[in-house]
Amino acid sequence: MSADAAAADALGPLTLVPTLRTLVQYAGASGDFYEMHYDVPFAAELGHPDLAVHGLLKTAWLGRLVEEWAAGRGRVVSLEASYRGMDFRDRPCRCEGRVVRRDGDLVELELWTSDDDGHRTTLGAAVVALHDAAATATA
Amino acid sequence: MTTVERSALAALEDAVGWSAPERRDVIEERHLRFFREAIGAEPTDDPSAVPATLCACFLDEPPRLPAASGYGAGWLNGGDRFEYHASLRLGDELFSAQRFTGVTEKQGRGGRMAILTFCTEFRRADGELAVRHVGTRIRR
Repeated sequence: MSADAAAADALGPLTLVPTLRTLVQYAGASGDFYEMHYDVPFAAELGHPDLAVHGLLKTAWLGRLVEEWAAGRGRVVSLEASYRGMDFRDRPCRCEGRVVRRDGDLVELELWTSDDDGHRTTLGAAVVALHDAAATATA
Repeated sequence: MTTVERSALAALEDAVGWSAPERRDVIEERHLRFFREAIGAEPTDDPSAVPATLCACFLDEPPRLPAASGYGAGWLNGGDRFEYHASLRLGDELFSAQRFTGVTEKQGRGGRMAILTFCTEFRRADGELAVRHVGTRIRR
């Protein structure tokens, strides 16, 4: 595979550093006010070292990654994420992906997030349907 | 497993099939803007475009399943899956009801946990399926 093709098959990285404001913004927009995401004593009582990032916020970041990659070329058919580790406020969360398979107009993507120690904290996948697979085979 | 833990699991097993009350949600401009800002989405040329995970805002999180409070101390999110059957746009009206579809118990590093699955279908007023969400939630 050429360097250009490899680059075209890579998504991201997109690195976010979720602050308390980020978590509160997402809680407000999504309606998920589970205290683990903004109440430090509550999080500590559950045994967490700090405020945890919402799993669905990490999926939203992975969704961004996919939609920005596919912009104008296709639509998302499915998007999934499995949370394997927690991410915490003020620590970088790196979102990445790669193309794993092309089948006609469908492209299968592998997605993941990793923390600042390089541990993969989310494993995900998506399927994108391209509008014109022939024209975008190497895009 | 203690008697209390066993009865809490049994209560969850008995609750499989439970549905939350139906909800109606409309994709509104202000809400869409707040959600885009919250996830850090880039400005778009199409102001009516809806991010793939906006439907997460129309889920009850954490789930309001009454039987769940008897098991464990709190919630964790195990995973999410979205299946898209129709495009969503600004102004769309969606009807949904979260359904509790299953529970299993596992022994993890931190002790026993209950793995709960929920399915939510977002449909238009005419019944057309737009998005299906399957969520895995953990009580421990």
